[in-house]
Amino acid sequence: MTEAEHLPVLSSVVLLRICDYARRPVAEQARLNAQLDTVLALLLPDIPARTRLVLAGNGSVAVAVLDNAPAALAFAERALHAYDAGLGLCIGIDHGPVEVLSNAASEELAGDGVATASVMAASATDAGLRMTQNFRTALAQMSPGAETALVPTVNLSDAGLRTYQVYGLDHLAPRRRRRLFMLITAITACVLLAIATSLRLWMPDRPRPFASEVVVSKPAPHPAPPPAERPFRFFYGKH
Amino acid sequence: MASTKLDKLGRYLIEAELGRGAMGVVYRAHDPVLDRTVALKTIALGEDAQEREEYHSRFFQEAKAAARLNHPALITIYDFGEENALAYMAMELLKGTELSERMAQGPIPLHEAVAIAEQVAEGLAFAHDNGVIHRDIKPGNITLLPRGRVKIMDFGIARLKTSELKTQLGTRLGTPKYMSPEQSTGGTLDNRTDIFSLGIVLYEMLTGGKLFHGDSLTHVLHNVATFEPPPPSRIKPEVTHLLDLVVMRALAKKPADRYASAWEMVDDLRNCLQELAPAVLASQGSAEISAQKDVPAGEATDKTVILKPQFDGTVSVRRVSADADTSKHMTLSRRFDSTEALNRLQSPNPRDLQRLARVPKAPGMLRRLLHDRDFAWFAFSLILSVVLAGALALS
Repeated sequence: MTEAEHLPVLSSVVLLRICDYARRPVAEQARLNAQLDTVLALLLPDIPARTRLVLAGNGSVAVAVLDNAPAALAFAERALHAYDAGLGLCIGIDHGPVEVLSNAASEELAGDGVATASVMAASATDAGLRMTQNFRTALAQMSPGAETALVPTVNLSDAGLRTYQVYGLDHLAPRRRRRLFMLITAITACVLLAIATSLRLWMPDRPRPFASEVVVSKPAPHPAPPPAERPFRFFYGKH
Repeated sequence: MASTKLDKLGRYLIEAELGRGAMGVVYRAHDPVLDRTVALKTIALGEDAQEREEYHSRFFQEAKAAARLNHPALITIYDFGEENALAYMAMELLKGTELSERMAQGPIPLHEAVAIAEQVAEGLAFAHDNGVIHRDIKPGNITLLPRGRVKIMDFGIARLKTSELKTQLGTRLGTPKYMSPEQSTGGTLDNRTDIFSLGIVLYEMLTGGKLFHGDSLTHVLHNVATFEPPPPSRIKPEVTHLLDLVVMRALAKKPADRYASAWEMVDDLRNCLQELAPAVLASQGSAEISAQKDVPAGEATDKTVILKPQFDGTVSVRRVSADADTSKHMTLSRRFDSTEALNRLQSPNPRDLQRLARVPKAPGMLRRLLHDRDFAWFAFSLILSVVLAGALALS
């Protein structure tokens, strides 16, 4: 094999593997492969053609998405819905180095990105999605905040004794984060306002840099009102 | 190995030498008691006493197990014994062609290759049911008989040969090419090791090239353990999808991913034969028509024989040699187009050079404030609280 004049890049590799593929009869494998092709035909147009490379394997397909981690995650999320049609997919995503290798027969994509995505897919259960820390970081870089939906699940060691922090998808995580932010904000605001109020109440001689400097002259005391004339009164009885 | 000319071994009268191998010699011999001609396979038990004892016990144990097997696809063993440090096995004399010779002659038609594999798988399934694992399935151990029948040979001595290999590292590379990954790494063997070996044979029959190759024994074994071969249809497009799946399942690196039983493979291969039947009939029909119209039948037959193989075996060899770790790559799909992205990688613009090779890192505070709405609201709320509280306290 010879290396082609292709740029080695870091890309998000989404590996879709049909769950329990090896244990199914060959006729069913053929049916599932056809279903997987249909799923790809439906979903791939969402990723711009100039940013995706599609790789084929036996019972698995990988899509290397260039410079667009959010699109890779969206693609994987939509592919998970194939479970409703009876196609269970174990999906692994990694953001890692890949390189196109060419020979006379075919072109191949090689690199840690493919291998790690494969490890992630192998760790995924039925209709599950597993991602690496690298992909989470890439997602955070491309779309800050989107990475909060990826929550740590397990630590995984592969055959090469490399250990990965594996992340899973949790759609409720952003909501929980938002609530946490609101709670922190509310508590902080309450505490700060309480401190400010207590300062006002208990330290009247506190420095007031923003207080007005205009000295207000004391108003002249009002003249005592003239004694009112003794009102006429009726007396009942003796004086 | 016998170096002197033998006239008699046991009760068998040796007539001629049929062939020689690393383990011994095969003779054509006559059995005067039953008045029949047999093939007599001799195996040198070695000069070292300990080694000889080990070979002896294993040989007889295996030979007994193999002699119990009686199946049309398995060679029949008539007798076995030992004489003058030479173990021998009398078996039926086959008049046919070895599959390796047939493969060397030219490509095997698809349906014929599947039919051969189906018969071998059935023979193996029968042997496995009887507790015998062959361990050395390869084209040299499969004989093609007239009328499309197939026989598996060398049952009972495969284990001896494997053991012999361990002492002759680097001197003989024939068998390792057909070993299973667990066999090449010295793992525990079961019937699925034969299924893998049969998968290799079927792959080579379908594609016409060698699957696992290498410059040295270590290289071959490494490729056996790690190289993920492309589906046969990539090399020979007429291979059906179903057949692709059968081959790839038999060639799975993990035994658990392979067929659990050779009977399952037999069933799938029969389905493949059914799938291929219409095409075969059509091709036969068209061949007959063309033969009737244009040329004599003999010439038409010659034409089918001299078809050139569509696969250059050296391509596969180069691919194996260059890949240090073949588990890290996948082939580009032919069903879905990746041309635009490939072009982008082939001639990247300066922006791509910068963007596609950058290592991801966590976004900075400013970027997060600008793009993360929740975080921005949080930060804004905090700042607002501080400002309000400050105003309240200091005004």
